[in-house]
Amino acid sequence: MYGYKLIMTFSVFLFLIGCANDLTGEPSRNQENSIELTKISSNNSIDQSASNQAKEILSNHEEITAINAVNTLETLVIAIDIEHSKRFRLADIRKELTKEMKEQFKDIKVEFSTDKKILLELEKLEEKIQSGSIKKKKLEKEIKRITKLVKEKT
Amino acid sequence: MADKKKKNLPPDAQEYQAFQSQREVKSPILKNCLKAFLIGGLICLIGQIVTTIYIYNFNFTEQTAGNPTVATLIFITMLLTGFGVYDRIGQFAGAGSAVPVTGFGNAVISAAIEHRTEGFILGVGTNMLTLAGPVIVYGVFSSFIVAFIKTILIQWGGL
Repeated sequence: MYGYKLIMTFSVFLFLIGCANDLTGEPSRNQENSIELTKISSNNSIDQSASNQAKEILSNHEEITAINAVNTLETLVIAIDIEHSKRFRLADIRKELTKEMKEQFKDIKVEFSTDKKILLELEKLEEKIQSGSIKKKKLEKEIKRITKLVKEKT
Repeated sequence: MADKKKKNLPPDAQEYQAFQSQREVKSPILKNCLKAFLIGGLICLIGQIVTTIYIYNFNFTEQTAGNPTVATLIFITMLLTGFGVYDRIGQFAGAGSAVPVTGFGNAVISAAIEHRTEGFILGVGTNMLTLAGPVIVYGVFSSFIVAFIKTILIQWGGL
């Protein structure tokens, strides 16, 4: 009897969780403008047109849910987040998009990442650039630090 | 017991085997599986939370946050084993608490506690890894086999 009760509780539990997920997951998929991205205004002292262009191109991909990108004159660092159900294909998607981005921006070094940490760091950096509270030298330093993080393996 | 061995037993013993298997208490497999699933999942959830904390608050990426997470989980398990809490979790969840990396920490510390009376070198030192040793040996061995297969596939299979 106890086992039966346990199974029932468990299945009800799973059922409820399944329902809750469906309700929250549906609208974000149906809306077209669900991608989180902020374009940095071009009248800033540090030119961000390359990263804006990259965001424009990447926002055409359906599976992407968030894009952050920052660039200096030499390097462009892009980080994306994808739909959770597509994470099984994460490595493939990363490979494809990296190739696409490298073809698009041939005269600049491109670093592409799907890592949550890089996404967070770039978001912070974007905010700083937007508010104009970061100097060019500092930005270059930060980009160098993030590039190092992208390449870190173990 | 395997059927081959059963045939060689004297008839009395065979009779007893049949009698015993009829009377023995059946272990509730489904219930145990559910318990293991829930507690194992809970341990993984804690691990995920620790990983997220490391990513948000420290200089770790998703790639690199795995190592400190494993270390933290093992450390927590060692404390829990020392205080006698993990034994109860193990009693309840079975494989759910033994298969995740926390089971490794438990195996090391429980062996160390057990052999404490034999001295620190010959007791704790020699017996600490008696339970966890096979995990390391077969972990290294199977990763070698997997790496070997991958190398063959990439070098000659053109994958």
